[in-house]
Amino acid sequence: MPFDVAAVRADFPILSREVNGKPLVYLDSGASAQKPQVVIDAVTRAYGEEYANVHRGLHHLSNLATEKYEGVRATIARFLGASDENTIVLNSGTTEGINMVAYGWAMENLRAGDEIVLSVMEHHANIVPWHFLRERMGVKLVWVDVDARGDLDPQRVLDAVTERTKLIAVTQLSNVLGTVVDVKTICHAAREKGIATLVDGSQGAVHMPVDVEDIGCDFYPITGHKLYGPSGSGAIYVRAERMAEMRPFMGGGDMIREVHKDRVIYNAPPMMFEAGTPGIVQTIGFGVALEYLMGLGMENIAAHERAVRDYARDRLDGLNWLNVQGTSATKAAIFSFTLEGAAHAHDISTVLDKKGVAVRAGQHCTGPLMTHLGLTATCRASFAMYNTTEEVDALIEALELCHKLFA
Amino acid sequence: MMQFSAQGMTELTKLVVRDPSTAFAIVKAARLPVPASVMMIALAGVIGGFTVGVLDVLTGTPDVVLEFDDGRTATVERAGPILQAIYATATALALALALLWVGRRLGGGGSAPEVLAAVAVLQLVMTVILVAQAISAVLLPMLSLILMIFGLYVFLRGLAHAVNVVHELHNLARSAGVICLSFLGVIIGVMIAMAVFGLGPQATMLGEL
Repeated sequence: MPFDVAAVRADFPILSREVNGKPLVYLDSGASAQKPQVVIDAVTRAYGEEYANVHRGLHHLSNLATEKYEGVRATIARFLGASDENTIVLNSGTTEGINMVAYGWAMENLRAGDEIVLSVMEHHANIVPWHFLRERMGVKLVWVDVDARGDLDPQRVLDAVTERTKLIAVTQLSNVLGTVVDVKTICHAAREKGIATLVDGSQGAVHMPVDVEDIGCDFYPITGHKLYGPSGSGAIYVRAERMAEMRPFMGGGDMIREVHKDRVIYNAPPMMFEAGTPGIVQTIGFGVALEYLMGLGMENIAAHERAVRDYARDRLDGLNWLNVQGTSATKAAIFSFTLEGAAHAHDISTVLDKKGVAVRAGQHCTGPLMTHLGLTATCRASFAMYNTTEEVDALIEALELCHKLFA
Repeated sequence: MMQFSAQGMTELTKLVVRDPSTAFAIVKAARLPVPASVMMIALAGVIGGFTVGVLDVLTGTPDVVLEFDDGRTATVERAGPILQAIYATATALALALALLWVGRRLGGGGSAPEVLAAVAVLQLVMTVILVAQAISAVLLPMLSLILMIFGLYVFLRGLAHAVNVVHELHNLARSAGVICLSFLGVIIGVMIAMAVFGLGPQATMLGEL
């Protein structure tokens, strides 16, 4: 079935609104994607007709909510290509997922002096938890730079591995440069050496089909709100062998089977890692969002976004006063840029906003990458499946105004 | 605070004519400090006043003579460039204050720095048009008339959008209401000032009672 962007746009009610008297051009999906009507309806229905706490209730609504909530685990497994739904831990998003790996797996399995290999283009969510281990346990962080095009050579990552390396944690798709990393090569080589791998799928899972078993990673966290689902939803795939090495890092609620004065018996994985009352409705909405994506077909979405990317790249390349960061051949439809003439990214994004174009400005939670690039901030236009080439034109027109105002 | 280059100010001026809504949204976001806005209003007043003064000299505009039924006449003396500049600046500042006061009472949310910035930018735009009008008055008098009408259109349209954006009224009709009441307030204020302080055009009376 061909991808019909007009039909997709019609599914997202917010896209028809105006901002500052101009049609909304939403190019901030890298931060958070808009929600289709099916997700909005699902959330409304869940609160309006199907809500109760999950798992421990014996009444009709609790059973209904539990059924809906637990059904999402299988949906996520299918979306990620995981053959066993018990490898999916439900959580609030990638940040919680990576922190779970840091506290639940790494703290148990790493010692002082052990090394974690990171790329310089990681999001803070895939940096700060490892800094916690550096501060508290003396774990060493080993950084791998990207090249001038913004590519991360898998061989450079593997060259950084030593006998003390216990984990490689890299993004699948840079939220600033748009670079798609060859994580499969890294993960397969790492597994041969017995090194664990975490692939940050926050951006990657949004823009391409994912098969975690084909990638061969041990941990693959995703975030619901970037995948057109509600905020506060997410999950992490944990390979069964690694899950067996983990201890729970948060206590209470669903992760418990029995609690005594002198001992605790935990629930079986994956619920062992799902403490407290979860984001029930958010997760139900997340499941609906993933079903919506799979209905459209991730291959179709990727093809559409490639076409928009190519058009945007051609048009942006024509602006010789614009510095776009990252020129990787694998680049996704994410464009971070600065303007010659030293206008601050915040000023640029403010002017773009007045033209109805929503972009993000700042460091994009990538301090080390900004240092590597020698920048303090950029503007970022991140495209999604509902964006069109006409919206690229609107961005260009607004950028030309910025250039005239600030040059 | 946004920093605009000279070219940027030129572009902003053009944008006020082309797309005043976006222009004043940018002005509002630019967070110009009050002293900068007042300086801009004063600068526009000085240039505008000087332009009108020079234009009077160049075109030899005759004085306004009022003739009364009883045979007396009063010649209204033209203000010089400096006085013109002071009047223009004071009127613009008074207009800004009136727009702020009336706008807020009619549900607007604009702050004093925002209103002053909007009026300042609009004054600059009007000054550019006024200078063009003055030059054309010497070279092409017909064009001057067209520019005068164009200037009036730009001013009223710009002011309506400025009030709408700055006060976040989302309603041009309400903005027009704010402008009308503000003008009324300024006119009444000017009349009171003229009566109390003896300001305004001076007239020389000729003839016997």
